[in-house]
Parts: sequence; structure tokens; C-alpha cells
Amino acid sequence: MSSKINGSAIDREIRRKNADWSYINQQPTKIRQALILFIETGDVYKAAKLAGLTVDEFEELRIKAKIPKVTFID
Amino acid sequence: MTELIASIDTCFLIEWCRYRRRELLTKAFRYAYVTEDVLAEIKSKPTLEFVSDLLSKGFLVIYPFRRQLESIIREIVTISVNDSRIRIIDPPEAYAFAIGLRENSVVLTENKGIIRLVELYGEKFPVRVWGAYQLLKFLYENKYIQNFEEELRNYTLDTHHMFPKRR
Repeated sequence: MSSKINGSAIDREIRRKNADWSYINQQPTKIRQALILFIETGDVYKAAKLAGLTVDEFEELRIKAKIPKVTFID
Repeated sequence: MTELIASIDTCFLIEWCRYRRRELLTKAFRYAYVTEDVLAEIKSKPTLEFVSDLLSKGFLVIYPFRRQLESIIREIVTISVNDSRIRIIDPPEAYAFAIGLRENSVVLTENKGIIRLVELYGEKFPVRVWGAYQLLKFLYENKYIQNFEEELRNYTLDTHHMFPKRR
């Protein structure tokens, strides 16, 4: 069975590159792991739920951690 | 006045709330459906103020027929779980999409699972799906925005959402 697509490699690379890793690494384990999940998948809802936060609260954290959302346009 | 109706998912609405010209949403659509789950995801003061304003103006409408969407939700989620080309679709996006399908409304979402679902199963699910980029483009084409590139930059600054060009 093929593995599930978790976001394109280019999107992920942009999120990784722009992220403030020092901020991310200072966070409590649950929050840190959720931010990493977002970097890996680009999925806000899942990351927020992993962190035990609302989507609104997670968005604040994502912006503080300087992790962009990425949408490619033609 | 626009005749378009929207169905908005949680992540889209919460991101759009951070945009300096967020009120433009009401220029593009006559009204917009949300489910009550969306309201549960709102916590910050600026988002609460904006959403409360949209509710009081009757622009945001809590979708009243949620239970009737369940068979569509089951079908969408099942497809996304079984088709390895589609990222698994979570309930908030699935509800927004199901409303779009049932009410012939524009689905506002950035969810890549939904976008892929429409690409691959467009005949089965003939739904218009827009992200922030398409909505800004629509606002520009309808003259609510004068400078599209500048507004896209503002949107990126406010929401930390980048729109790189595909090479």
C-alpha cells in the first residue's frame, strides 16, 4: 500500500527554512511537537488538536514561530 | 450586489480574520455558511470581534441542516482515507465542502485534501473551491481591490501565508 501524501516536499522545505527553530525548541513538548507536525504536513487543524489548542490559538503560535503557510500559484 | 454564497471552513476564516482588509469578505458574498464547530475554534479578541460582527449583520449563518450532511461527510472522508493521492480530510473541512456541494456555494478553504479531491473527483463533486488567493483575485476583478500584487503582499504580511509562483 502506498504511503499517504503528507504535503509536498517543496512546501515542507519552505516551512522548515522559514521557521524560528529557537522559538520552537523553547516550547513545551506538546506545543513543540504540534509546530513540527505543522511544518511536516501543513495541516493546521491536526496540529492545533495535537497541541490541545483551538485553531485560533494555534495560528497565533504558528505566526510567532514564523512558520508560513504555503500555496503555490500558477 | 453579489449573488454568491460561501461555505467557510475553520482554518480559512481564522486566517482571513488576521488580514487588515478582512471586511472585504462581505463584498464577495451575499452570506456565508459555517457550522457551530467553527465558532468553538475562535478564541482571540480580534477574531471574536470580527466573527461577532459578521454574525450580528447576518452575514455568517450557522448551517441549520448539519445532520443531513452526514452521508456526504462519510463519503468524502472515506475517499480521502482510501485514496493515497489525497491527504486525509478532517471534519471541519469536510463539513464546509459538504455544504458547498449541497447548497451550490463557493467553498473557502486552504485544505490541500479538499483541493485534491476536487481535482481527482470533480465530476462526482462539482464544487467551486477557493483559497485566499482566488478570493483576492475575485475582489480585484470586481474592483474592490486596486492593486492585486500589493494586496497579496499585505495578506502575506498579516497572515504569514506565502504564495510562491510554481516554476
